[in-house]
Amino acid sequence: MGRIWAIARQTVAEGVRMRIALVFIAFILLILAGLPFSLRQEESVSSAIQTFLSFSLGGLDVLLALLTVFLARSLSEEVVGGQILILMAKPIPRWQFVAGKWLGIVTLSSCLLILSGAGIYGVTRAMVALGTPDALDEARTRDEVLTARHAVPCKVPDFTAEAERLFNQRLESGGYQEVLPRGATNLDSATEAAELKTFRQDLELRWRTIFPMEGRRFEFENVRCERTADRTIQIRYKPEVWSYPPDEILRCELYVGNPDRGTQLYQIYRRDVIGRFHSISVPADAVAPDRTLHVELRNRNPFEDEPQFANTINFTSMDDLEVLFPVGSFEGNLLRQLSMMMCKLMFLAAFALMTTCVFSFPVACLVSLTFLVMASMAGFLTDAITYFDDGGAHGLFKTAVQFLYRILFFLIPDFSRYDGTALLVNGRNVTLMWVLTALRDLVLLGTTGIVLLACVLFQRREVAEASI
Amino acid sequence: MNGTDIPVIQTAGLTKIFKDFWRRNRVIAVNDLNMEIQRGEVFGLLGPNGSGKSTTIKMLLGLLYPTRGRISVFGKPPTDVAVKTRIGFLPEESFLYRFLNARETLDLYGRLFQLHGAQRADRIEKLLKMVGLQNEAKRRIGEYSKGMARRIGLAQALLNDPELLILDEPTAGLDPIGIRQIKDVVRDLAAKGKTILLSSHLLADVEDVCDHIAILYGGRQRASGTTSDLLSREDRTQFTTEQLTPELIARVRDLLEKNGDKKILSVGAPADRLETFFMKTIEQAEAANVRSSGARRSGEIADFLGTTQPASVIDTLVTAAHKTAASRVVESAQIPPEKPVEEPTKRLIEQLTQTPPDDPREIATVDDTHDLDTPPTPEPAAPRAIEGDRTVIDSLIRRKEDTDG
Repeated sequence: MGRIWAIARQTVAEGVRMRIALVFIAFILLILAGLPFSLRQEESVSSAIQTFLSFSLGGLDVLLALLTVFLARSLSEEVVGGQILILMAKPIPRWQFVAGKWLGIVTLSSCLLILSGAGIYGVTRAMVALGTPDALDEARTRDEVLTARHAVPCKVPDFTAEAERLFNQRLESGGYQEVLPRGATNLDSATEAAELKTFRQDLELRWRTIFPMEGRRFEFENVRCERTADRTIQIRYKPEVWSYPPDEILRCELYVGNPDRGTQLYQIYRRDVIGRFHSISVPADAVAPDRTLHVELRNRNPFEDEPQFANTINFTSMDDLEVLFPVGSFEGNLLRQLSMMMCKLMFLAAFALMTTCVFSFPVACLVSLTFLVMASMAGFLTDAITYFDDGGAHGLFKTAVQFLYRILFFLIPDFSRYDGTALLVNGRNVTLMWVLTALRDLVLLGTTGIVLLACVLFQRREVAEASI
Repeated sequence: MNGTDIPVIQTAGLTKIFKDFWRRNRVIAVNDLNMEIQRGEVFGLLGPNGSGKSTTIKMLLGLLYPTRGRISVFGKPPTDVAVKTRIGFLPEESFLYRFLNARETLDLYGRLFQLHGAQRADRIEKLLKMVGLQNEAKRRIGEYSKGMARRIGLAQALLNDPELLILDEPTAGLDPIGIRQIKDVVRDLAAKGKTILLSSHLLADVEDVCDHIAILYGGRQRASGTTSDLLSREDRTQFTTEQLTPELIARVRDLLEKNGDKKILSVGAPADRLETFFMKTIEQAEAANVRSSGARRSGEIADFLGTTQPASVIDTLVTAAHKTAASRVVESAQIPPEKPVEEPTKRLIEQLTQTPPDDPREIATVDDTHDLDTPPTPEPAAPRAIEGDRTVIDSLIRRKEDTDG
């Protein structure tokens, strides 16, 4: 361990004294110092904080990734510069040298991540303290931004029995005569399953649609919050209508709570812009003792002096309606988000180091940056390739490209799957399980595998360059 | 075969071919090299630029892998980590980290040798003093002159008190002080029984310190053997005396022509070597406390060097005997007994040395080409130079030499 740490110390010293880290710190200071001032035109402190967190964490992610790739270049520079000749003439196994390099890069990146994280936290708190004293804004900041909330989707009723009833009804009424084989009385199992699925989807769609003057009660389970009036929970939803009214405003009534189960009932009148997410805070005593919450939406305009439109409301998916309740603090959430960023940096450090074990600095740098871009865009690229259409003219080409990308994205992790910035910004919980998953996938499996591969490649490499 | 019988370095059919991008043979850097370096030898690897010296050294250190052939260092493959604890290496350039200072540089390498804190600190201080950079130890290496960086390179090579010291072009970029120091270090370490492999194309440096030489050209070994065997000229005799008058020179000339029909080819007053003159000048400047931010003249060789090496009783006695013999040779300016002297020359020497022995002008050296301030390479022990229990030591020496065979 002594030798590994000696190499790690040297790598950290290089990063610091070659002013690589200094440039990074200057960038971060620029962001931390400048961003809050540029956000003063934001309409509320909570929005300003959300924007600040989004930009600062996003910027930190990119800058630290670049720094990590750049720090890893030291190995290939040592080969070119000849320092490796003295190092490898010393009694240090090559795997320890690679491990030491990795440890040094990760140590420096971690220090900078912790410092930057502390800076982001400090600036966030300063923005809260120096913000305008608006009670509503303050409550929103506290309950919807600087918190860690768990989200529960709406419980969808089981439409299986109803779907089977409708299917049988149609079958008996001769609705499938055209597709039934001659003499048969039943559809084949695949067709039947497809038909049942269609019925279920239709029923669910119907359930998610609320016609004018109708109401729909949505139920949420496992709302594990403190059921007191001084605590709040949030209902988050995005309403759509079949046909937009001229003012693009939906007016409706909400009833939250279920007196039949011993809770308070809160009546809320809403004017909401259609097609956008909205969040309503309600006291937590609307939750029943069995941890369920009832929310009834009535498609009726409660504002009699305002224009009336016959809107048909629908939710395009059940993600468009959820209940959020606090389960942790902003500090814990930020810590978990930073931990997840660290997992990505560890993985990236291993990959960048592996490339320097094989390639010279410019090539290794380019390969690592390409890898970083692909890992960051993996989700988008996977979707793009899945729906890739070449017009049918080159089927073989399409298959080949899709095959190639499948292999590529088997090897390249999707970094967006381990990014909790969007959740953190919206005060949603970055779960510990998520962090542990990142730790398992990116560090225990990914990093270990890549560092081992780097060790093997470096062991086989002749560290002295041909000179004669 | 015990541990001391194994050659420190042994290569058999060692070949290195550099290939191009398409894996085609591009250059044969080393071609079928067979080499053996025994414990305690100072071995000079000579050759012009591109002759394969550095490539050979890099293969000996496991930095390059041979295309063909075998290498063993202390009886093990050069990639063996344990072997590297016994090696010190100074590459042809000072490949040091520019952002570290001298002390930090040595600390890094000391940690790789797993030297413990106090021992590491002690050795670093002693080596800094030895290479004359103790006052510049806090400056970054990037600010050093080439020669100063080279001195730190030497210090790092000695940090582990190596049994085998590999010096690749050690005097390149050094000032005369540094060159002198390298030579002194090589001689001192050789006297302490270390094995030294020195690669250079500066022939004078190699000639001054090496007892064995191999000459490479085009990757092949063209000549090898002991320095004295390869360089001795049997057709010439050289005298060095105190200053002679023209009359005396004329008498000697007549004597030679009459007695042996031999001619004096040249007569002249020998000049000081420039190195000696330079060293004297620097000594005077340092004595006058002239300020300098450069390297100082070095201190004594660090006392830990050679002390950690467990030596056998025979090795210790043989080394002591050789040292005593060597010092006696210097003191009494003996003619080495093994040099064959032709009969006419012998008579001539007798005539020239007939004057009483207390006249210092008549004391002469023959074939002693060393400068006075340069201790000669230790010769095999002359029997009469050894005091004490000569019989016991002689028998030990014989046994040891037989074993080394």
